[in-house]
Amino acid sequence: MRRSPLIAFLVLLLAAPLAAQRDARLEISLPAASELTRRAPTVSAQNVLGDRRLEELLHSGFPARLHYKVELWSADGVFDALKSEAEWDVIVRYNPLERRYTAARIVQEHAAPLGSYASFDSVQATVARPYRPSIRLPSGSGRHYYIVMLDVEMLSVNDIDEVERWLRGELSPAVRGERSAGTALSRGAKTLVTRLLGGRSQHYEARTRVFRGS
Amino acid sequence: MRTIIFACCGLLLCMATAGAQVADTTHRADTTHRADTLSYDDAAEVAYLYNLPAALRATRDLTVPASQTVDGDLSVLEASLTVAGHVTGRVVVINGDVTLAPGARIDGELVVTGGQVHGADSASVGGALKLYRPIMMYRMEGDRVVAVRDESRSVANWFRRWKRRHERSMSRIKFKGGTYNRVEGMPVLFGPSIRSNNPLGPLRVEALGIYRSADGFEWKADNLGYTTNAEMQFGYGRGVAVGVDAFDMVQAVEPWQLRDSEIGLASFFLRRDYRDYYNRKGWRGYLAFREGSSLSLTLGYAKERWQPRAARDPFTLFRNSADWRTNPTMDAGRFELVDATLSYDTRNNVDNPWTGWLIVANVEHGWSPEVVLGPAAPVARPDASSPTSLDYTRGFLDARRYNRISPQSQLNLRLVLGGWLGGDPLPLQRRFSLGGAGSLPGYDFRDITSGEDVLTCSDGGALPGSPAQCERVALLQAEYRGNLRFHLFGGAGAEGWNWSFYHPLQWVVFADAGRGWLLHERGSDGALRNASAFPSLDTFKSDIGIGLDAEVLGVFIAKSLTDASNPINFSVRLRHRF
Repeated sequence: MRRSPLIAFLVLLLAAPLAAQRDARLEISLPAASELTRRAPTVSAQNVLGDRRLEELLHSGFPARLHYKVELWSADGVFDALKSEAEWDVIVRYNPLERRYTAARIVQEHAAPLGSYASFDSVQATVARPYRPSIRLPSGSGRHYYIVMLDVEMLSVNDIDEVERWLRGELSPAVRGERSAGTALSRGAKTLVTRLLGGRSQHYEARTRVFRGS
Repeated sequence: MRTIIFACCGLLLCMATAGAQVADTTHRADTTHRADTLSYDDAAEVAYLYNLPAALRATRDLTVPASQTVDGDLSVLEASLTVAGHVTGRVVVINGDVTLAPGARIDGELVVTGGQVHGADSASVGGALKLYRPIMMYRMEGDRVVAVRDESRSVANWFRRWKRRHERSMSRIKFKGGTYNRVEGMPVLFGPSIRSNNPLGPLRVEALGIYRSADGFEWKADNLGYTTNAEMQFGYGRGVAVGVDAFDMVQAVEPWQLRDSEIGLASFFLRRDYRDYYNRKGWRGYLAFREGSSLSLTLGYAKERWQPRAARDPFTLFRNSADWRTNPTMDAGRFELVDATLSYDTRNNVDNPWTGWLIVANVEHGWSPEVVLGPAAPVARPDASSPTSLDYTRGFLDARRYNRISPQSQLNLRLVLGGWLGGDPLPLQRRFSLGGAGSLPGYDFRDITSGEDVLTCSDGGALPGSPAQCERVALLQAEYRGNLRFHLFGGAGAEGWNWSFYHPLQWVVFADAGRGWLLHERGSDGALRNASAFPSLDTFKSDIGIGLDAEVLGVFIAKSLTDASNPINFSVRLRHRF
């Protein structure tokens, strides 16, 4: 009987993040069979920022980093061989002063703006747009498959400007009299605790079927 | 005659003009402005043009058929435009593509952001064609478009800085905790840390004081130490580094079995510390050849004083009234050491590898004119009631190979070989043992087996703390692991192979075999003799087990194969077994 609360707690602990993530989805889709060697697969991630905890952290000024990695594996030998890989990041930040979300895709040293949005749903939709990484199937036959991995993490607040940004975001409403200082401080403490307790990283993975190159 | 000449000139002029009018039916390249950037001023101008009164405004894909003429300006927002007919004014398209059919005609300018223009060569654009590739940032105020500053560039710049935060020049005060253990409690490290990037390469200087929590953070010599490092690397990524360390610190014996995090958590929560410790004080200089993070060779020379350390009674969350395992009394003396360490890492992922090698090989030669030997079994080394000299050579190899054998399964292998290579018997600090979650989980940690003790190489008698005494060790670990698909919500993708919420849970089947042995057996005459032959395989201890591994946490059960009476052992590991 004494175990019941513990079991309930564990169930809740497990269920909460799962429920929050139930619509999250990472997909990788192959191009048409005739285009396998000419075109890269398409990667899309739906609702990966949909976790309430992530949204709260993002809203507090912590940038979200979506780190994608696509690997092309050969399945011809005894052991599968990693043939090539491509990595990129999508960064989403919320500016508490302007109340806008900004997203950018960064591939190596090249940054591509993805837009600036007033609503969280809009930036989620932008993040979810399909993307073709620069990875190609080498010409020649053979059995291959792609794997895509996505790690969603809230970046640490190391830089002074980040700390200031966070403080502005949390404390400015209190300074303006829109929220009590106590509320602002408790929200700030809650944010930090949330950050420490697990707003760290979420991992998704998906793969294509094994296919034969032409 | 003059009239004829003027008439001919007039005719030629008319023809030229007519020719020019024919040429005007296609777009003129010299009025095209293509830009890979879109400044805020440009965006504001585009927004201004969009907001001017227009004859036709669209926010969905729009086609102007060949038979249609739009009298005035045409503005399109977040949609594609196809023009086959005639627009008498200006066309502005924000974040959409434009397709101009052959014969299409736009009398004014064509302004496009965040899209492409197709067919401009076969259509007529009377004004300039301005094409900005970046998506335009804006917000709506009623029906009006208001340009907003694009922060994505600053976001990208910030992220690049963030990624290189450990590689930037910096000077800061570092404050961090070490591994919780029964000798120190929580060692707190505190002090300045400087990194300076210069044209030759990075210079790092760090000087950390160590303050230990044991005995309630009492300010005394036992609770104080330091570790300092200065290193100059010539070249970034690939290069040669020269460095020197100075230290007075607690050092773990056999750190290869379990991770620091596992040791710290087991100690803090369960009062179980699976390592032994001694104190190192001295300095070490080294020369390192580095090829990125995958390959390095380090050559070192050190002068150190080794001293035993006693277990104390740091706080633990549970079992706080139980006794800690005694920390074995290690050898004491001043040592000079030369060592070479090769590290080779081709794993595709450090935390969750699916393919690649990880090899760490080390050779160390050490000597000391005067060593006070700690307690050891008589079979492990000769008794020495008075200090003795030591001169030894020792090698250690930890080779791991990760193999993916299908999209969802892998076969991983690990070979550990270590031990005496020459000279005198090894000091206790450099000896080996097996048994426990990090090596042979089917056997308890420091389990003194019946018969010949091939796990700690004792003679069956119990020494305080059961120190590792083997002079050589061989361990082979193999595991076969596969993904468990964790479809709690959602379903398969369109191709039937994608899955929605992925929980990185794996099942694991594993087997381990190994033993330790001594090289200096005592003969019937009481003298030590060399016994360096590789032991028979049927003397090895082995186990098998299964587990569930969630990447950050794994639970395993293991059963000894060679000692049937041993009970099943349960262990928890942070991250993978190896």
